[in-house]
Amino acid sequence: MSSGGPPRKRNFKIEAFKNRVDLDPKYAERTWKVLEHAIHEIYNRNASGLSFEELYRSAYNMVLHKYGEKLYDGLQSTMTWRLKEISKSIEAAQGGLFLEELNAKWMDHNKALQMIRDILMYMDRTYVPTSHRTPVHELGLNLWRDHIIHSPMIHSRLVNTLLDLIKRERMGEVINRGLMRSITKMLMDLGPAVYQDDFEKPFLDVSARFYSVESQEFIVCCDCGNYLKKAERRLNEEMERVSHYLDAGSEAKITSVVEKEMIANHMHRLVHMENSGLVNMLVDDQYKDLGRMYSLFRRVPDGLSTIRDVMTSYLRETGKQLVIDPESLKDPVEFVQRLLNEKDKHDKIISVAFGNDKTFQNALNSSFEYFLNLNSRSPEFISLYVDDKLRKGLKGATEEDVEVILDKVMMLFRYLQEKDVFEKYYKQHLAKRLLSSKTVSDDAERSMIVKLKTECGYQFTSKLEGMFTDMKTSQDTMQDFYAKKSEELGDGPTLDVHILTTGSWPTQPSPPCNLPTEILTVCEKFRAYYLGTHNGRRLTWQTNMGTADIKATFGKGQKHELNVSTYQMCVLMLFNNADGLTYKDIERDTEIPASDLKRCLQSLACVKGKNVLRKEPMSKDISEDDTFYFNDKFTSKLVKVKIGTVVAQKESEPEKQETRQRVEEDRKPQIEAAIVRIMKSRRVLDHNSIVAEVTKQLQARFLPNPVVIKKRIESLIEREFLERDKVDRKLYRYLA
Amino acid sequence: MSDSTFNSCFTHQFKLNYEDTEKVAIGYSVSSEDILAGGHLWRIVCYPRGDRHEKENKKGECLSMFLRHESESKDAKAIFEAFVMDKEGTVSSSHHSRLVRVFAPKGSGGGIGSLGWRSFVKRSVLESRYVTNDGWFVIVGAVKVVQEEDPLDLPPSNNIGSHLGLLLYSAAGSDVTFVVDGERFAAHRAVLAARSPVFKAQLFGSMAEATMTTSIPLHGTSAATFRAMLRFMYTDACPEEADDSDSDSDSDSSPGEMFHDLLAAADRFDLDRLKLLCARKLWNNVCEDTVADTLICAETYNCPQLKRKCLGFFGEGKDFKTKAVLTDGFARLALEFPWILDELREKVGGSA
Repeated sequence: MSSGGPPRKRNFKIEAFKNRVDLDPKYAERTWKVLEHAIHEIYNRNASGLSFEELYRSAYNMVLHKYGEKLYDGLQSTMTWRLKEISKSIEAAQGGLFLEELNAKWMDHNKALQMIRDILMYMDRTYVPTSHRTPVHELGLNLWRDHIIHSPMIHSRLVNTLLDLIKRERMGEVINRGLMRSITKMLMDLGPAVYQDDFEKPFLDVSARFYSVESQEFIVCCDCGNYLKKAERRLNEEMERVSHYLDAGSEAKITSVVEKEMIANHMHRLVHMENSGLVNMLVDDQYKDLGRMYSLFRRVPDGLSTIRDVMTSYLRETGKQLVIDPESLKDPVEFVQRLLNEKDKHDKIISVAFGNDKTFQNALNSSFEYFLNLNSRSPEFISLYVDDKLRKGLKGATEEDVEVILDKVMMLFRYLQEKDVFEKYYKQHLAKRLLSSKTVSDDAERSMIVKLKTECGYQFTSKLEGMFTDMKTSQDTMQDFYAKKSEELGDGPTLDVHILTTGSWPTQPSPPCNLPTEILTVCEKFRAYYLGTHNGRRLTWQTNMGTADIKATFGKGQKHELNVSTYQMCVLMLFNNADGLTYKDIERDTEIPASDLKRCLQSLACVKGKNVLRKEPMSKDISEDDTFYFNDKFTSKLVKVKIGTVVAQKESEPEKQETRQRVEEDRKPQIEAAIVRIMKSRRVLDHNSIVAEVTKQLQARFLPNPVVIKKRIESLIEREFLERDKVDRKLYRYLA
Repeated sequence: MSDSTFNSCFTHQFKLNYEDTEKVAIGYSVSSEDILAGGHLWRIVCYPRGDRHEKENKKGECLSMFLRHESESKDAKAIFEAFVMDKEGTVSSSHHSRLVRVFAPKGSGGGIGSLGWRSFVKRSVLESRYVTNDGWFVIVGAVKVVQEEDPLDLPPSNNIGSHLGLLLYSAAGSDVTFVVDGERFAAHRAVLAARSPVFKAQLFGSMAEATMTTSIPLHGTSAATFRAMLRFMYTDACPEEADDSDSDSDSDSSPGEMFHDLLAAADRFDLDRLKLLCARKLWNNVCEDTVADTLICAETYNCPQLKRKCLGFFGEGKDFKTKAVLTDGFARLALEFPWILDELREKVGGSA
């Protein structure tokens, strides 16, 4: 193909336009007059008589013949003139008709603008882009903005009228929302900046002042709950106002104002308000008020942390009173139950009112951990609570109920910092339950063990599980014993032995006492049997932990079956051969330790309704000068009489110290083992790092004392597990 | 023998011993198993010494190759290729044959179901050029079925233009009448409004025409131009030169002028597509005598595409430029559109 342009198909001549109209300036002026008149007619609502064809063609011809600038400038000046006239009529509107007039004129302007844009469509499409002028529609909006909205006479009046109507609506009046909607939409149509600068900003400023004043009034005359109700209602009102007649973008801004003026600025005063503040709500379980406070405070910075701090302070103080109150210390079960009730109460508050907020749950947990460990007896008391439940509290309860209660106890257990102390007491209490067969169910016992194992690991519960194993083994052993030795035993007393593995059970001193001859005989037979089948074993009798059932006949022939401790049995059997015995006689014949003997005799002689012995002189306490006689006059409605030992439900102070001492002793090897483990892997480590690492490893059971750790390090150095660095005395080396 | 697929068609290989084939009778054949290709069954058959005694094959001098259609259902159009492999194992170019035929179903009386080449290759040539040292030669046959296009695969071409054209022609249901140069044009408001924002504003706006029940006069456009524009709005078709010969009026007007006016009308009524179609018509007829007038038209009626083409025309060729500058149109261009001369100077890089 050739590069000289398209090939010539036909040679023809273009003649001049037949329909061409040359516009001289006069013709252009006449054409513009036609258009100008039409624009006025459009504004005068007489458009229906105009010919679109004529007007469009006129504008077209003006642009076509290079009179676009004249057309555009004429349009601008004509619209400006019209808008100034409109401005006057709006300004002349009386009082309440101002907005109506403004809105009506705006709608007229929009209709006119639509038609003007239509007849000037050709100019918009051709002249406006090339000359970089503003399109017709946009020009109309800009002129309205500049000559109506920003007119000095209209601008301030418009803003004030709008704000006044909003104020009235806030005061409960019914206003014309449709009209408000039209006006705000007009401002948005003129450009977001117009809406924001000419309405939204003054609106927010006035609102801030309004709510500042109102909140001052409310805070004085309302209690906390009512104040929050009002604040909530105001928030909802503002959101509703936005949805009805403001731009959606204003919602976040106006709610922020209400939040700041009504909530943030009065937050601390509200929570601490006397008789109705946060603490009162917590005390009285006012879920709705608490929920409202939570949802409102969440909207402001530091709102939730303020609630949380007050709640934490209250919890710590309340809990502290609970664990320190001497009155509540008298009954461990009551002590723990109150703690559980407090936990339930606040769990419910957090669930119902605070939306299960994790930060509040954490605050609750840290508070409980704080005050629960203020009382060093908490571990013992929790164990006693479990003991009470597993002895009788859970009798008849469903499996589900058991789980619920044990789970709640486990929550308290988790807060303990000295879990090893709990373990010590739990072992003692479990031992008593097992040996006296006073447990509601094996399943409940094992369920508790499983929970403890889940929480603290196998090592924590291995000895406890050993106790259950011993009980099972003992049962099997006794069955076998009687199956094989029934002929030898004849009609002697029946023996039931629990074989307890040393180390699994709480250590007890086992002073020997003199058993009655009848019992001694069968015990020796069992010993021979057991050692015959378990080579290398060693048996030691723990008579202080046994029980006995005795049949007794009293003066008038009345017969009773007495349930007594082993020690009490030893005492009572002496009276088969003597009518009266002095304290010293009994002590010599039985060799029961004095403290145990006194408690034992007190149960037998000084408890009304259970005094199978009589003592002289009559008094409440046992003294070494007393003499005891068989009580022929004893009577009871029951055939079976249970004579319990006067047993303390909680340890006496000396016993407590003894238990604490044993706990401390047990901690030493654990700390040393941790130190050795750490140094074996680190080889070289400084003092502070060892302390931190040991604490970290052991804190699941107890919080090691840094002083104790230091002593254990010294001990390991003496025994040449570790050595000090020659240069840095705070640096230790592991010796392989 | 081995079967394989090659380039989406089915191939079959015959590997035969030359000495053995010397002893077979004329008409003896070896064939492939049934081949399934394109939904039909086929067999490729090789006659080492020809399929029958013929004048050219009295003593079995030629090897024959055939493709036999084994399906009984219907005809099938197939491509059949056959070639001999060189001693080196490549395809021989001199003995490579190909045919495309319609094969009749098996057992049909009328058509041909077996086609190929009776004298595919002379045995003497085979012996001298294709038999390997160990006495073998290889012939390959390939078959591919030609699929007919499914008419449902192709959507029918758009015919909305002709339907709307009929609507315009019949004036059925028209609701507006324009009077142009004394001629009356019946039309439909909705169609015009859909095609042109100017007509939309006029016919559905707030001025007199929106509610006029009588004819709407339209000035500034000729009847012929309006007719062409109206036809475009209904059919999207730009008129051809031949259409004007049927016109009763303006019989002396030239096609160029018609497109000139039509482009102006397209610009006026905001019909961008029609404007471009007219611009193309004008450009196709441009020459040194008319380029200046066409350039004026492009500038006046806001057609930058056509303007760019015309400016380029002036920049090509010394003779064309010289000749174009001497026209009356160019003089008017210089007088009324002086800024275009500046653009021209930039274009040609010299003084006009």
